[in-house]
Amino acid sequence: MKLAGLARGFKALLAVPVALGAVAALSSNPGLLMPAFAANALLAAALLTSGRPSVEVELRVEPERVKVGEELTLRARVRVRGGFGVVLLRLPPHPGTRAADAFELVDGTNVRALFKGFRPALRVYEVRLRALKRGEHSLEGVQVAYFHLLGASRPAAWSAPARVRVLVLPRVGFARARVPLRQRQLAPRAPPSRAGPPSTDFASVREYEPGDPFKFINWKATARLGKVMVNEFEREGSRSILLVVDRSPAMLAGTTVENALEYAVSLTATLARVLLRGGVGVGLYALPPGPDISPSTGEAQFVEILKGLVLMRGRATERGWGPDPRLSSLVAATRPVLVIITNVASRREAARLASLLSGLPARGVLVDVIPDNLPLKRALGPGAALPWAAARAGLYRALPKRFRVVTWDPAAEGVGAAVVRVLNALRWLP
Amino acid sequence: MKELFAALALALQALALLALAAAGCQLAASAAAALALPLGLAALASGRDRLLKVSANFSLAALLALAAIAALPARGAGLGCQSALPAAVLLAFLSSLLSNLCEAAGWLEREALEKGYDEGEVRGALASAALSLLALYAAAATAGWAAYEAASRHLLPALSLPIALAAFALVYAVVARAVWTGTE
Repeated sequence: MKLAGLARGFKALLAVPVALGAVAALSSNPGLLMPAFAANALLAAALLTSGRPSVEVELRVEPERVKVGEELTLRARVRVRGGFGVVLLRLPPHPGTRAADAFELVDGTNVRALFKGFRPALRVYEVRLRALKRGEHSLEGVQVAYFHLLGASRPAAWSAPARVRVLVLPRVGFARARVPLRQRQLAPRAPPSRAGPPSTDFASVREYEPGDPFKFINWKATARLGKVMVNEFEREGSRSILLVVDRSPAMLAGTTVENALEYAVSLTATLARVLLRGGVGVGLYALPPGPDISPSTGEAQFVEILKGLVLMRGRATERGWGPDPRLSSLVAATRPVLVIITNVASRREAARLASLLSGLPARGVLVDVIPDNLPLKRALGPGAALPWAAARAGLYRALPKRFRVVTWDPAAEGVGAAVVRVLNALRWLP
Repeated sequence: MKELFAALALALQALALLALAAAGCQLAASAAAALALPLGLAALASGRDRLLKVSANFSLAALLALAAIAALPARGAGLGCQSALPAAVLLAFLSSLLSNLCEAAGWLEREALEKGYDEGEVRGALASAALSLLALYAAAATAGWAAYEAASRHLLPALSLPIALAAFALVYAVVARAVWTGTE
């Protein structure tokens, strides 16, 4: 074992001058001092560089905010001090991390090799990445591996701290569609305004629901009927629409990049933009509960909704899916038209949706995102026959009639076309 | 690239032993070569870096042992290759360093294969490493020669060699203690 240890580079390096010096001293051959001095000089070099090098990394991305499908440049400025040997670097994204699913390498390589001599080494590396998945992603840590050339230390591997954040926004499509705010003559009358402050125009008397202001309680009707009743007034301003995105496990069918939820997010963002530009109040809600944005109007609301969508993640478990008091009170307070974006994958899902919707005093559109063809997206042409349409028609029968169903196969139809169909369905709501 | 370094290391070993044989120690050189060179050839054929290192260090150890034997008063006078020993040791030492570089190249190739490093970049890093190592060795050998010349002309006549080497060994003992505990 000791001999084997001596065979290792640095220890041999240390032993050679000592042995040579001793032999030179004992023998009548002082010429051996020459290799002893040479080995001594090498040993000094090895000693000076025997520590682990310090690797400082500064990461930057340009731009820091991109949309899904867009490219960005990751620039790493690496400074290596100390040591004498080969340094291997691996820039983020690292395999197995969330960032690896969110970006793909387009140009360049993120694994680099360099030789660190006696002088400090400074390198600038660039790679082009394409954003694949929305979210706030962190590109962090540079993996370093080091091999000392004279064997003065064992090969070492560690991670150098460095971090940069990238905000990947969902893809927002374009849709040329009229927002169902003003109706054409032949179209049915638009649903009354549901958002904005109540006006003084009396609309009806109804039973009290949590969230109703106490000043609207109709005491006479309450005394007559034996239950709390409130007056309802027409609302000022435009109608409001609440976009409800399902993030249950059924929405995660497919890959991490191509699944129903990712397309639902893109559809939601596009719908929000089109509706907000049409002056409609738009809100966002997630099921199971996640982002919760009350309906409002304006560009700032679009940014809020976009932020909510960026951070929305799918739920791998079904816990938390069911009757939702927060959604009920939001619907009671703002009386919105609901646009529910989901995947009615099975009879069980349909029953669960029916149970949820029947408890909500609202009408709306249910968008059924069918992810089955996404893996074959390139193979299928646009407008291909959808064999599952008939099978799902049976599932839709369980849903309340107050909701119109729009089926969307993202593999065969773009987001813009889906938005047009959703808006048309909203126009024809009862 | 690894094969090139391995072949160079093996050639230097052979050259060191050849120098020894040419100076008159045929038996010792043949004995060392009979053990070290097959090991080196096997390492070259199988790509086992560690085996090459063992072979190079074995040659170096054999030369040191020979030098030690030569130092014995009874036998030393009988060895005729003392004049070739310094050069042979220097060559064997360079061979040992190259075997270290060969191990680095093997490690780098394994990493490159596993993680997908750019082959051109890896080759460039190894070429820089080899050049740096050779330059370092040349500088060390020159410094060693200059130090020896200076010592033999000015220092050694004034100081006795054992006292100078005792001071040398003391410095090494201190350094070795620090290194053994602090390099991992």
